[in-house]
Amino acid sequence: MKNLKEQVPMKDNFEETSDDMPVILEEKPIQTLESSVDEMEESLVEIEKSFFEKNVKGIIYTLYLVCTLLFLADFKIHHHHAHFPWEHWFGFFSLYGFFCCVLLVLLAKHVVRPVMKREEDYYD
Amino acid sequence: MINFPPALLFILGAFIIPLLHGKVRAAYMLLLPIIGFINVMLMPEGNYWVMHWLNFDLMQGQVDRLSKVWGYIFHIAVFLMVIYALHIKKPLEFWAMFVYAGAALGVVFAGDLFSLFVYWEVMTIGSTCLILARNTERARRAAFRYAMVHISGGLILLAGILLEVQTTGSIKFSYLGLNSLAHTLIFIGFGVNAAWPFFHGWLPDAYPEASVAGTVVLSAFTTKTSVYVLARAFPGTPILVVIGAIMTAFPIFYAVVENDLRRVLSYSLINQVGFMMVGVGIGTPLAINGAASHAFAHIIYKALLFMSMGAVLHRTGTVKGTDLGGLHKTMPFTTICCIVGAAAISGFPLTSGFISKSMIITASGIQGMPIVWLTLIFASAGVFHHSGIKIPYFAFFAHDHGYKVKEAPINMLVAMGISAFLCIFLGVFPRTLYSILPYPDAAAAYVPYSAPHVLLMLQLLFFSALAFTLLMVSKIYPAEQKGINIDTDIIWRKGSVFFVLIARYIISPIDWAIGKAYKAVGLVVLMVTAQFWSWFDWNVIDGFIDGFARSVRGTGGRIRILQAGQIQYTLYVAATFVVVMMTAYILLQLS
Repeated sequence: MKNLKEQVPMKDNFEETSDDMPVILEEKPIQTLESSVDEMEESLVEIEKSFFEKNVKGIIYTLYLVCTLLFLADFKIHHHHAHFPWEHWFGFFSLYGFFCCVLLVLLAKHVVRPVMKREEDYYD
Repeated sequence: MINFPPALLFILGAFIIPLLHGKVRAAYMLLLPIIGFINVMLMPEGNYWVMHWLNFDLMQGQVDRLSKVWGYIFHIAVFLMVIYALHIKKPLEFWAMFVYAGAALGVVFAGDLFSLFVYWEVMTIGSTCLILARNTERARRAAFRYAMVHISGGLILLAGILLEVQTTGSIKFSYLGLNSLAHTLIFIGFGVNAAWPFFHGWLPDAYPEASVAGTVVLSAFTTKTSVYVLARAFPGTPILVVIGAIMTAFPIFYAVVENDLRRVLSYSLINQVGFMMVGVGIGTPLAINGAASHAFAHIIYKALLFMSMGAVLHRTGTVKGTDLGGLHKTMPFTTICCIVGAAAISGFPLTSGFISKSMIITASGIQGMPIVWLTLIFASAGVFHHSGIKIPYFAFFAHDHGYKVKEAPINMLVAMGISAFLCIFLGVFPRTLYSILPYPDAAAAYVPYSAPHVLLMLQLLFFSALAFTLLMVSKIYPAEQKGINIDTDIIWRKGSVFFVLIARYIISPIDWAIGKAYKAVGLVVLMVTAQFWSWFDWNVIDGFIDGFARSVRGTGGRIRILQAGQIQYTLYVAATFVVVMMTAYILLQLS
């Protein structure tokens, strides 16, 4: 598992070209016989893509569809027991949730990380 | 009465664990929380198990609906955690787990401040052992820092208790309120364990360094015990609402950029405890119910999330976002359990998080607190963003790093399965939980599943997911990076370096200078005195009779001893003087 960094590009390459094993073996920086065999076996396993990996697009489109339906549901369902006036605004919770998360990520990326991030051995 | 103090069952029971082995030990450890749970169920409400000590009444059984909620959930948590840890051969972690959980139960049922303090400190010992159980250099250092912070917090608490005893003469632990210095110190002592902002640094510092099972255990007791004691002693304290609202908001920013996934969960733990703080701070029956039910639900789903990350750590040896991905193929059951836990912490309808968190948010709305309400809604979206999506996504999906690992051990799967079941069970049948809450009337009147309520939560969560997806697709979302993020623990981690610098460059030179000066002055005085007596002897005494000269020389010698700057003589004389004076004073007083 220590040679993960070196394996990753190999596997991508392998998936794109063909199932032809010898070609891959020639391209690999062979360190020892054992490790190369292990990597070969792992590469073989990695060919199989899971349900999720095959259907990423489908999942994303389903999410878009659900979001649209939820957004439009404000036409049908009203907040009778609202505590604040803005709860009655059309699409308030959808938009609040969306923009909160965008703000959260942008602040975390551009403010928190540059200020707070240190090397892993900072305290050692 | 056939009941017994729950704390004693666990703490005394813990010492038998190292004597047992194999299946006998497993059966024994599973039996303890079951017996304890039945015990709590049968414990009548009231105040009992009073011991008389000096002039004080120490009470081990302050039992009412509030303490019973925590009594139940702590037993359930221990049961789940024992199953989760059953693959461990060494008894240390189990011993620490039971001592720690037992002490937490001791705090929950303590009726006086002395017992509370003793259990409070035993909790520190047990939890420190759980961090040490990881048995790495990093863990040892983290355990030391953890212990230091909690001992400091304990001292503040002790100062408050002693001051309280001094001023009121009472050690009863009930409603205190923020109205005197003693109560303020107790309040702050509780706050250190509750991971209030600024004090919180110990939590994300220590929890991710503990052992696989240790982190799961730690996540349940320390902070939730603090929620309990604050709910008992300081309900309706406005400052708690502010503290809680800050706690819900700031950790999610850290969680987005944090790479260690167990540290991400530690930050979301602070966020969740923040919700409970707001509930306690509002203090209405609905809000206290919300805090209690949220503590109950939170312990299960947070343990579940830490369990799933622990399983990943156990199998792959890492929980860093940069190293993981694609594990859903090889650990499908762990993935499903993690997603259930993630849904629960996010408060999806039909999970335990929805029926508990919504109480607190509704309570803040009823009290007319718009900023708090908006912050809690923001924090709900935020916690979904990092705990709900980021944790499962980076661990089990995202970029496949080619780990070819086995599914988690069977005992871990059973523990995660039961926890996941409970998360959904409580969400589908909220009345089971509502029936044990501190204020039964308010709980009965509360309706979690109304159409607008469900809709607003779904809108909030799905549009958070949409934001995540769009940011991911557009590659704006910050990629996981190796590294750590500094937090308030820098004060006590780098603080020692500053202290050493101050000692080396300021205190040490001053000390040296004083020593030098004293030596010089002392020597000069000695030499001058000696010269004087020499001159005196030579010029004056020799003119008189020899015997008189000899006696003067003797006096000079004695004075020289005192003048020589030998501090022990001076101290000896001074101490003797003080002792003589004190003896005389005491004798005079007695006569």
